[in-house]
This record gives sequence, structure tokens and C-alpha cells, in this order.
Amino acid sequence: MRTYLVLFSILLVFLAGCISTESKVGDTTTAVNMVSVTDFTGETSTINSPVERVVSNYGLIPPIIYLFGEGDKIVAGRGVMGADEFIDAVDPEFKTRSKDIKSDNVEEIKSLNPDVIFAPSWGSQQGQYPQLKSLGVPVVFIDIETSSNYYKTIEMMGEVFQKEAYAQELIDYYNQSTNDVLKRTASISENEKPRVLFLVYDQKKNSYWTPGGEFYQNNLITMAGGKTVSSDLPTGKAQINVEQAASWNPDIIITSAHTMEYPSTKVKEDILNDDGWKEINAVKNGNVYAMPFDGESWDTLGPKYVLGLYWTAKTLHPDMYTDFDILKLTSSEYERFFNVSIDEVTLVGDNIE
Amino acid sequence: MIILNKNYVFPFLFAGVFLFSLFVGRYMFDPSLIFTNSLANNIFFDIRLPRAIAVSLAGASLALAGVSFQNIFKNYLAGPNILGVTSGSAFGASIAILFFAYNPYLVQFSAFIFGVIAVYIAYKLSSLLKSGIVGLILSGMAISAFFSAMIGLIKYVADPYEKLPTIVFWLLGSFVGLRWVDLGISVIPMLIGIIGLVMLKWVFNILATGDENAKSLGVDSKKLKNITIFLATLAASASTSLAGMIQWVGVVSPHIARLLVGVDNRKLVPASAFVGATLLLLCDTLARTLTPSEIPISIITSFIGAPILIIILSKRGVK
Repeated sequence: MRTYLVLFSILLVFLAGCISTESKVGDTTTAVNMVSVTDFTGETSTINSPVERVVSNYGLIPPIIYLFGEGDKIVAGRGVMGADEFIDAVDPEFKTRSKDIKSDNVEEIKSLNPDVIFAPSWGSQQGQYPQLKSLGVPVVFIDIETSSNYYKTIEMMGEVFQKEAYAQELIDYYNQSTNDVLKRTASISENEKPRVLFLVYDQKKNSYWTPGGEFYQNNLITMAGGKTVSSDLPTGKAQINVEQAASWNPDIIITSAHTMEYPSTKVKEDILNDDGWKEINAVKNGNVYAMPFDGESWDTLGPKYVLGLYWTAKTLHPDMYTDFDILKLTSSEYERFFNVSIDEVTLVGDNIE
Repeated sequence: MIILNKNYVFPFLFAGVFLFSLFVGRYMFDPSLIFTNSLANNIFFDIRLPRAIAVSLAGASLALAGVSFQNIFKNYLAGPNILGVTSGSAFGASIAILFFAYNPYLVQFSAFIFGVIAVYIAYKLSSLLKSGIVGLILSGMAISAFFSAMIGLIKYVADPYEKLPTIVFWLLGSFVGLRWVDLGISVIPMLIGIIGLVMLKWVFNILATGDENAKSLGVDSKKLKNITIFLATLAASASTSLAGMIQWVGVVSPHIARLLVGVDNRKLVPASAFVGATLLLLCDTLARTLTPSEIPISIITSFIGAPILIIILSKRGVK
């Protein structure tokens, strides 16, 4: 279904038409700009621009809005897992300023008077969204499951916040970094590529999900010069057991999680301490690596895209990246995009010294 | 010939299915490698064996809770949840996931405690109603509905990306990731429940004759009913805290057992325990083997259990 949506999601209208309407208010004349944005369900919404009040019902969106330096516009919403440790470091005010709306109560959202609501596209037919639309609140449905969708989302945010040039700068930076990694990994022959299992903690003891099909983590591993063992599974989160892992018997396991309360390093510890995994190649040879986590996991499509890509490539092929200092890049990205020093951010994970 | 005696069919069947389940899984190996190949040895002894034991105990617990409640309430459609024990457990797990998602033992403990609390409230409530068994069923229904509503509320406020799928998975049950260490915690209440209820098998026959009769035989029926409810709650709550909500097994197993051994509780109670264990083992083997990802156990038990119940009841008629 999701692939279906992606197939049918129409390419964004590049430079949305700006329509100026003159309205007489007393003696003054105010110009209201309207931007029209086509979302991932193919619907077009007209948004007041520049937007001042944003509501997000999609955890991947707040980090991206902060990437655009517009975090103070978020009036309601939380990031993935609602933990938001990274955003807290960038902007301690976030949690007090932005309401935590767990449900999409129409009246509550309407009373916040948002210029735009970002919501996940798989929810487009559910809940209060149809009602919200009828109340004249623009709802933009977004799907960030694949790299190309992430790029489209960046472009869209550029239009919404009238920062098209910056959006283009980001995309150029992503492309350039991706090409750099791909160039290095292009020389690796198929049988030199390690077989990698990507595990995400599933909030239940000894229970993990692994990405299927087109989920981004599979693409990440492929780009970084590895072979992902779980790509044959249907797209989505697949809860696997140890036996399935044993039948794949991967060379490398990468662990991931989404909150400091239970970060990827803890998941790695669990696997190393669980008798059930001890005979699997990756565990036996000590090739279990914790995905860096700074309040956002680097394997999600978001502001840490480039960091996650370089880290994965260096983890799978350390000999090819001996010249590469991941911590230096991290520090410069923090300064450049978020205006925050690396000392203010809690960062855990392997291979980041 | 011992096998031809139908009293021994269920234990033998159980033993067969238990062995079979140990040799089936996503990772297939030659059975002769168990002691020579370390990976096969590891999968067999550290993964499959504790899981098969846990599944057997949970299946027996649920079936015994089912047969006990069917006896006490004289209702052939009663299941372990008639007094709200599994709804209570599921609520306990959900609330722990919501507030302390990162402590698995707390989730398990909370599930167990709330299962017991739910039944305790139902029991106290029924003594206010003063209408005996009917009052108990009514208050059980009310408590069950209350906790289901609370679960609904938790689902409504849970984080849709991570916590909600976990809670939903919990409500459908799964034995994934079960190791010896997890077994150690839950095995005690399950064993107390199982052994206790099997020892009480003769009591159910006396209870079935009515309270007056029981009194004339020198049996304190009220006290025995309370003990039965307590033991059934202990077992059902512990199995729910181990693997989440498991539907149908508790209701269906006693019916399958009745088909073969009849309604005499002295035979029916142990037979039900073996049927429950066997049925859940089969379902769990399918759940972990059919696809690369684990299938929630209640999906399988409902697929298998519901039709069996319909077939049995339509053949025999609901007495």
C-alpha cells in the first residue's frame, strides 16, 4: 500500500505559484502570500506564507523543521518517540512551547490556529484529518520512508518556509556526500561485501524488528557497501526471532533504538549478553555495532542523513575510511545546521571516537 | 497395551508434539547435529527448549483456568477472562509500556499484578451484589469491560510510532525472545496454579452436584470455589504476563478434552491441561515458523480455535 502511495504521489510543484491578494483593512494594505503545496497523497493545499504556526503529527517532521532553523514556529508536536533529546539540546524551550498533542482532536488543533498541519500519509484517510480539511485548516500528508521522499520533503519545507535556496543547498550537500560514499564503495566486489543485519529494539525484551524491502535502512546498508540480509522481506517492520537471524547468519549486526532511556548501545549489550545470539557469526566475531544516537538515531531519514551514511560506510569498511574523522564532521554539522556545540549534545554509539 | 487406553492419548500426543516442535523452526538443522554443532546446539537448548516449556505451561494454565471457570460458573463458554484476569493483565502491561517501556521485567510484573487485581476487584464487587455466581459473572464482565476501555484509552494516547505497535503486539500475544531467565520468574505461579487445580479435580465433581449436596458431603463449597478462582487467576495471569493475551485456547481445550474423556472432572481436568499445552505448542510452532517475521500468537489460535469450538458445539449441541 505504501509503495502504491509512493508510486502515485505526484512530484512536487517546483516553484509554487505565489498569488497575491490585496485586502483592505482600514487604511492599510496588507499583502498575504499564498503558497500551494502538493503533498504525498497528490492533494494540493494552499498555505499562508511565510508560515508562523505549525502543528506536526508526524515524528520525523520536527527535526526537519529545526534543520531549517524554524523550530520556534512549531506550536504542537513531538519527534519520534516523543523523547526529543537532540531538539532539547538545540532548543530547551521546545517542550514548553510546543503542545504535546497525542491525538488529533479537531477542536484542540483548530484552536491552535495553525497555518499548516503535517501528518503522516498513512493516516490520511483516518481520524480527524478529513474534518480538519473541511474546517479550512491545510493538512499536508508526508511519507518519509525512502531517500527520494526525504529529498522531496526538504524541497517542500523550502517552499513552506520560503527558504528554497537553503533547501537546494541541503540537497546538493546530500547528493555530494552520497556520491562520495558511492564512489568509494563502487570498487568493492560483491563477495567482499559483508552481509549485514539491521536490528531495531522493539520495546519488548529480546525482541527486535528488522527493515523489510524498501525501508530506508536497507538502502543505507546497500549504499555503504554492504548486503542487507532482510531486503527480501515485505516492506515495513518485521519482527524477527533469533532463528531467523541464525538462518541468515550475518557477518555484521547494527543495532538501533530511539531514546536515550534505551539507546542502541544498550541494545548491543542485550544481544551480546543473550545466550540465544552467541553462536551467530556477527556476535561470535565481535562485529556488533551500535548506531550512533544523539537524541535522534542516525539511521532515520532526517537531519543526520549524511552522518549516518558515512558512519555506516566506515563501520562496514574501516580500511577505506582511515582518513575520515566522523566526530569532526558531526561537530561541524551541529554548528552549521543547528548552531549547537558538540559538547552540549549527548552522543552514544560505536566507532565515533 | 497402554497406548490404546484413551486416558493416555493426550499425554502421548503432547509428548509427540513437544518433541516435534523442538525440531521445527526458521533455522533448519539435521537433528543429529544437536550435540556436535554449536549453533544447532544453541538454537535447540537456549531458544527452542525454554520457549516450548513456556508455551506448554501457558497452554496448560489457560486450559485449566478455562475448565475451572466452566465448572464453577456452569457455563461451557466461560474462558479464563470471565473474571477479567487477562484484560487486567493486558492493561497492566500496556500501562507499564506507556510509562516505563524500557524495563521489560516491570512490564511483566505489572501485567501479573493487574491480572490478580482485576479478579480481586470483580470478587469484591460481587460480594456487594450478594447474588452469588450470577453476581460474580456480572462483576467480571464489568471489570473486563472497564479494563478493556482503559486499554483503549492507553492506545489512544500512546506514541503511534513505537509504543502503539508494541502494545498491539502485546494484546495479540507472542512468545518471541523467551529465554530460560524469563521462565524462571513466571514458572512458579504457573506451576502452583497447574498443580493446585489438577489436585482439586475431584472437587469439581462434588461442586457440580450443588452447594447443598456438597455441604452434606462435608465440603465447604464456598471456600473451594475461592481457592479455585485464586489458583486459576494465578496461572492465567502469569501466562498472560509472559506472552500477552492468548485467545481461545482456554475456552476450546476443555471442549476437545470432553470429546474424548467425557465430563468426569477426574479425567477431564488433567486431559484439558494436556490439550491446552498441545494446542498452544502447535500454534506457537506455526507462529514462529510460517514466515520470516513472528506472527502474533492470537492470530493463529483464533484461526484454529474458533472453528474447532463451532464444530464441537454444533456436533454436540450446547448443553
